[in-house]
Formats: sequence, C-alpha cells, structure tokens
Amino acid sequence: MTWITQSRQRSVWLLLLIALVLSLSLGACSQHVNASDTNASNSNTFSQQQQYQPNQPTHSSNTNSNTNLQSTDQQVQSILGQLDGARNDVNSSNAASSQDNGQQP
Amino acid sequence: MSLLTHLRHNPHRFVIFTILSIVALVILAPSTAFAASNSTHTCAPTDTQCFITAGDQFIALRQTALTTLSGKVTARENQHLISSDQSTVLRSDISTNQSGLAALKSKLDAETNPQGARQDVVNIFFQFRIFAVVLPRDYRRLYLDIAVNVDIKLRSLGPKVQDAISKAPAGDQAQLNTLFSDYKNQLSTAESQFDVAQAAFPSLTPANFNYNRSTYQTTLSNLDAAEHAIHTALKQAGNDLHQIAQILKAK
Repeated sequence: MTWITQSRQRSVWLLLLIALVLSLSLGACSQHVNASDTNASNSNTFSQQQQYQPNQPTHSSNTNSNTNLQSTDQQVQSILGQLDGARNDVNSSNAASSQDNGQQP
Repeated sequence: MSLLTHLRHNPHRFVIFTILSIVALVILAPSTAFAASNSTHTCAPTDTQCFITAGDQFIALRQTALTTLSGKVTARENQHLISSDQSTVLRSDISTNQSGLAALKSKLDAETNPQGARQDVVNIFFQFRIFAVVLPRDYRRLYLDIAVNVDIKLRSLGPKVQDAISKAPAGDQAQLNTLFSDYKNQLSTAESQFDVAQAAFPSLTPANFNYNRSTYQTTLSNLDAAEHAIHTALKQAGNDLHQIAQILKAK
C-alpha cells in the first residue's frame, strides 16, 4: 500500500515536471514568434515612411546620425573620465606639497 | 601546517590567536605604513656624511616624483589628450628641475665640510620646491592643457549635435534644444576661465613661494577656482551631450 502511494506521488511529480518543461518551451517559442512579428512590423513601418514621405529626412539618415552621436558621446565620456584622472593628480600633488616643509636635517 | 591543525582542534586557542593577531596588526601597521614618509633625519652639526646621505634621499624622492610626472605627460600625449607643443613645455620644466637636482647632488656628494653639505640640503627645499611648487603647478598645467583640448573637441561637435537634433521628432525638439543651449553656455563658461588660469602660471615660482607667500597663495587660489569652474562646466557640457544622445537613441 505504501509502495503504491509512493509510486503515485512520483508519477504526479514527474507529470508536473513534464508540464513545466513543456510550458517553458512553449513560452520561449511564442516570444520568438512575437519578436519576429515586431521586426516585421518595424520593417513595414520603415518601408512605408520611405514610400510616402520622400521629402522628409529618411529614417536611415536619422539612424546614422544618431549612431554617430552615440559613438561620439562614448568618446567624450571617456575623455571626461581622463579629465577626472588629471584632476585627481592635481589633488594628489596638493596632498604631497607638505613634504617640502620642515624636513631638513 | 601543524599550527593550523592544532588551532583547528582548539577553537578557544584559535579565537585567542586571532585576537592577538589583530592587536599586533593594529599596533604594527601604522608604524610600517608611515615609515616611508616619516623619514626626518637629525644630523649632528659636524656630521658631513649624515647631511650627504639625507640630502641624497631627499633628491632621490624628488627625482622619482618628477619621473612620475614625466610618465604621465608621455601617457597623455600618447592618448592625444595633449599636443606635442603642450608636452614640450611640461617636459622642459621637468628636465630643468631634474638637471638642477642632479647638479646639486653632485655638489652635495663632493662636500667635505658640514656647513656646505647642510646648505646644499637646505637648497633642495629652498631653491627647488619640487613638492610645494613645481609638481602642483605642473600637474595643474597638465590638467589645463587637457581641459582646453576637451573644450575644443566639444566645441567642434556643435554642428553634428545640431544636425542630429534637427532630424529628431518635433516633440523632442524643445527638450533637445534646451540641452544644446546649456551645452554651448557651459563651454562658454569654461572658455572664459582659460585666460584666468593661464595667467596664474608665471607667478607660481619657488621665489614667490619663499619671499612673497601671500601673493603666491592668492594666485594659486585663483588658479584653483578657475580650474574648478572649468571642470564643472566641461562635465556639465558632457552631461548635456550624454542626455541628448540618450534621447536620440530612444527614437
């Protein structure tokens, strides 16, 4: 009797595990499909803009200038970080300036 | 190994050992940590060799600090943060001081009477003022050189930023233009301080430090205030640019 109960419990757990794996797999598949749809709709929007608004600045030129600006921004932030480093060197030299006072033998 | 095994089997001794170790560390650490900086020598008035040894140590310390500065100048030039002309000005000053210290060391090492040796040691401090004047001044000059170049770089980006803003959605234009306006204002603020900062350097000399201390300190304070204003303005301009880039990135 006990053996039968344990066997049933194991079966239930096994079923739950299989159900969990299946639901995770389905979830992953549906996300992939949604992502593909979104890309497709974005592509459509991009095509429509190009088709119906020829006199407006194109999306691709916007993207290019934005991409350039992102890259430039990263460079500038890096340079400003180095400017901070130079500032720290100034502070360190200030801290060491007392070494010229009162050490003569 | 056996000590560790022994301690592992005796938890009480392990606790005592740990406490004693911490106490020993607290007592010994400060004395070793400050041993290098606490190198004040006291020489007998007639001990020439003592003055020579102490002076050589002082000179070595200053030569090392100047070499470190020289390395930083080289690194900044290699990173294209300063131009070769800016680098040359700094290198020249470093070289002058290194040569002067080397000559003083030769003189000191050849001294045969304590008065001469003692005066040479005094001159290490009094004539050169490497830590009090030269290094603080040259590190500030290096900072200012970098800041000027950062400002030129940011200023040159204006048309590109303006172009990117003009292509942004109409709904974002107001916010982007506000940020861009602040960006330009911050650069103008930085530029207004460059001349103030540059004007300070000629007065930051060992002679003024020795004989005209209040003027020296006032000049140094003015330079610090100018460089602080420059730093704040450039950082804010960088922040404006970053915000503009983030807004455009989201589109």
